[in-house]
Amino acid sequence: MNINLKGSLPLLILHILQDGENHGYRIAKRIKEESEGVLDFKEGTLYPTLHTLEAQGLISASDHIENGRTRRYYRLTDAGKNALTAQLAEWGRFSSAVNRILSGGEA
Amino acid sequence: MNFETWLQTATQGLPQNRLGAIRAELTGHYLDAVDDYLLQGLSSDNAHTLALRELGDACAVCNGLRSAHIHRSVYWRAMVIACLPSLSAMLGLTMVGRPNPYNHLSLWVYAIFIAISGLLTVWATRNSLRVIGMIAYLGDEGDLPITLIQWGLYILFPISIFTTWSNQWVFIAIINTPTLVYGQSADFNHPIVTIVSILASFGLMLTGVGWVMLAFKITRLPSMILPLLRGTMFVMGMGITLLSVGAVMRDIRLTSISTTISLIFGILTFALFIILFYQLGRNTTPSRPSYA
Repeated sequence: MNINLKGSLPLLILHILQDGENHGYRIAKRIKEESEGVLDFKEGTLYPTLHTLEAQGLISASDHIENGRTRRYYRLTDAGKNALTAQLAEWGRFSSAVNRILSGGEA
Repeated sequence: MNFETWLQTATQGLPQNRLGAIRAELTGHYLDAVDDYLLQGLSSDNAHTLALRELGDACAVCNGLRSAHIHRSVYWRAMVIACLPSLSAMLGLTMVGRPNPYNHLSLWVYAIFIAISGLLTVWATRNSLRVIGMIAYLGDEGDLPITLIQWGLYILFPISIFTTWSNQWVFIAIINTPTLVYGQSADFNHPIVTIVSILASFGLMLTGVGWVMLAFKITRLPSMILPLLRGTMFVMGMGITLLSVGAVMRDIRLTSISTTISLIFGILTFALFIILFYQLGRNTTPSRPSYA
């Protein structure tokens, strides 16, 4: 089944970073594991989305060298926390609307 | 495709000041994924294959990263810059036959005009080609044709000024058509005429071959005008190459025909550049390249 993840990816990233700073690979892994493999990034949208969020000031980043590898750690900014609250509310409205339709208006 | 090729495609055309950091980040992600697969007991080959597959389509990643790092104003600026060679060529056509070889003042004005428009043409062509190379994912493949075009123009630029100043000698005036008129009264056997003709032919040959090569190399562009652009580039390149042959053979007719072809298709090529940059400047979502 193909699900268009792109629209919800910023929300998922902001949500994961709520728990503390993290780097791209771990963010991708967490989303994949917690969605039990339903959501992954075959289209390669993770880094473009991370960099766009950084450019928008919703997350900030710093580079660390670990075992000879560069890892860019991302963390939520204050603006990102506000955006997360707003996006969660929007997602709630959106998903309840879809659920209402799918359940024939009973939800 | 191996990881190095993937990485090169995915980061093609990104700003130089961020390129190293982005490449390091993507490399770290890839190596982490490989390590995870190895820990799960996969063979090295399978681990690398799966880790690469997980990274996704390199062109899609590249489009996304460009959207995040390249401001749309780059394309608007490129569009304005691409106007200059066409404008310069059209203004040059209006100057045909204008300067009087015995009127020093008009010669000065004309020489200054040629110098400015020549410089603008070289600068605008170089910048337009850089942006084209970037959005067409040309990478190293674009280095040779773009370098040939640049060096051809560098050689032709001083010659175009020289031909303006020494119109009594000049047989062939490659960039500026007026010399075709004066050239008919030139002393063909003068050594300076011979040297200028050889140099001009060499510069033209480099430029012409460069444009023809580029027409073959550009196969990926996020635009429907790709076949048209390749066609105009090819004809312009062939026209310029023929012009270099005409210069060597000292054939006025061949020179005249190939100059006209080169100018017309040169203007068309840059007009298509302008349309392409305009499209990209307006596009607010990442564009996916088409594969020809």
